[in-house]
Amino acid sequence: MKTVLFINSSGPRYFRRENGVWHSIDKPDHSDRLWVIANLPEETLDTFKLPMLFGRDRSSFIARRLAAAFPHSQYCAAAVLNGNWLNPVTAALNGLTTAEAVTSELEKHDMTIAGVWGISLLLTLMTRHLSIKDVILAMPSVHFLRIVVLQDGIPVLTRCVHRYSEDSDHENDSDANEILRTRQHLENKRFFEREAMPPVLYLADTRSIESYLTRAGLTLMPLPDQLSPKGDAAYLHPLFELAATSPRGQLAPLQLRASHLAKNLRHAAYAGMGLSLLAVIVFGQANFRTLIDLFGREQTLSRDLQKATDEREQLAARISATGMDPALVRQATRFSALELDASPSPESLLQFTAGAIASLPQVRIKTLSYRFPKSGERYCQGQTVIEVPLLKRKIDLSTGGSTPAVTDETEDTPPRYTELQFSILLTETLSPEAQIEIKKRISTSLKARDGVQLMQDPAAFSLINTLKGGFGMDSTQTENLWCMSIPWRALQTRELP
Amino acid sequence: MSAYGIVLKPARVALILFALSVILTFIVIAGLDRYRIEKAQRILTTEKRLSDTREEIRKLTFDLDSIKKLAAKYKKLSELGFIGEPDRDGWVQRLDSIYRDTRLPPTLRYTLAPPQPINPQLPDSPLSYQNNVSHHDLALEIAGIHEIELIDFMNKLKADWKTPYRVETCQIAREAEVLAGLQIKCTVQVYSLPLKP
Repeated sequence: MKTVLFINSSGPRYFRRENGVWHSIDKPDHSDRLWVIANLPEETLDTFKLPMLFGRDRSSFIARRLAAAFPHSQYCAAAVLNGNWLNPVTAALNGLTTAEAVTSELEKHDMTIAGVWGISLLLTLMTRHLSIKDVILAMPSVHFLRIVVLQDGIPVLTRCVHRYSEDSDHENDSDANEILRTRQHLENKRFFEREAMPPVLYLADTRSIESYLTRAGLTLMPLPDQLSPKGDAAYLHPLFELAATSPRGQLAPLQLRASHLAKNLRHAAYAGMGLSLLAVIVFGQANFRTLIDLFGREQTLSRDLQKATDEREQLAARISATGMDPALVRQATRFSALELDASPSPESLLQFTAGAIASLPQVRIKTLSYRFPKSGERYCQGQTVIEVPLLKRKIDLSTGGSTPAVTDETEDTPPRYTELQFSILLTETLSPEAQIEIKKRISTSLKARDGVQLMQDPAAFSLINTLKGGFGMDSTQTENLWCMSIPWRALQTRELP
Repeated sequence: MSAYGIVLKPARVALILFALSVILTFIVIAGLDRYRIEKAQRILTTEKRLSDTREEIRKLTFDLDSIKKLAAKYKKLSELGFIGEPDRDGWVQRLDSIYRDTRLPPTLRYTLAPPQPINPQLPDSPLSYQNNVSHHDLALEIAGIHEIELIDFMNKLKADWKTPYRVETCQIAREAEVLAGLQIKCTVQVYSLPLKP
């Protein structure tokens, strides 16, 4: 619970904040934290310009000023009021010349002390918060009247005047009279001219002094809403609210506040731990979610991998059980299909040739030879086989190009041919016309065979055929020779490994 | 005790816990990030392994299918002596024997040349199946037989020789005297494919 100890010359009073209102209490609880406000005549408030010093130099300078101003008291502070890094800094030298009234009261209780503030500085800060620059601030208590004067937001005077009677109507005894004395002092010290005297802000019931002040030519400032009285603290309520925020200008030495600062530090550390936890959640949650997904994916992958590995092992075992090398099997069977099975046998070539002369009983085969030329070799003494790819391929119009699309998988192996040549001899003597007729019939029979390309044909028209002859040559040797290419048996795709 | 000590000492447990929590926060956040990266890398590696394994399965399935489809033919080729060490002595002995059984005139001459590898082809060439295959050229000469006898002999070779061969070239010429029969010169290529080491 927040508790304020308000100490003035009349004695200490305790207030506790409950539901936003400060209630007067007899004594605080042991667990309360105490904010102490001193309204004592021993309080002094002075302002000074701080040279452009920083760091240790600045703190040493302030420490020297405080030691000079308050040689016998530790209850002092220098609160910065104005200025920044570029403008000259104005600081308020605030403190209690003697602090027995405070220390004797604090020693009665073993409590956590949040700090001690002088009322003059608190009033200054409160007025500055309300943006009131020039004002004569008067706050009466039972036996004393506190007067603080601000000029351009800087305190120029603080007084704590003894009141003989708060209800006195005598001009000499009234608060108004003290305010008028203060005005006289301000005039004498040339803080303000008489006609430029700032208004008076009276933090109490103004009825008793209003007429006096008006007659004396002073203006009474209407009480701002923020300073309106509330609860048991009455006009002190806004002051307590400000003090409870621990503003600058705290006077007590560090030893007195160690427990409070340590508590604050602990709370800050706990808050930091909470923030750390929050940071883990905020910055780690994306990774955490991703990790959960990754774990799920890893499990699925591991299962799939295990399944695939098992399947691979089974397949490898089954292949191993056959005792065969798959590549060797494919190679051997492909070789057999393409080189052994597809090639024509001598019997088939003899039968092919016999078929050409089957209907000619007067014709016998004189010579016959065949071979399987390698790729690139010439046929029939310099001829080449004319391949007719367009017959085997289709133009794929659907792709928009004219690239021939291979439709047969056997197309990647080059076509193979047999070179066959044979010559004939006649068992009877025939007329040249009959001989020509026989040659024509043989050629016609050969050409009728599927895929046969006749490269040397004795029956061909002499304009395009090679002509050979001469004295002493056996013209029948060249004239009766047929030479051709015969394609190998075409393999179906399913026959190939 | 210093001014800082007065304040810090009562709160030291909380401060130590706070410092630990900050360190733990950094460790957890950085650790999670690092662990996520490592996990992602491991998953990538596993995916690659799975992909490789599936590719191996595809190849092994293809291999097994090949074996199932071609096993019979492969066994037949093995029985023919195409696979493994070539039985050159056996080839010529059986050839002799077959020719003798045909009761043809004893005009057979043969020469079995040393094995020659077929020209090596590039692995992706359509003719790559010829790699490692050797051919043994057997030059045959027969004289004084007739066409029908030649065909019978060839058929007998096909049926009984049990050798992976093909008749690569043949030159058949009739003797000047028709009744004397044919002069035949053929080159038979016998093939062999060694087992892989």
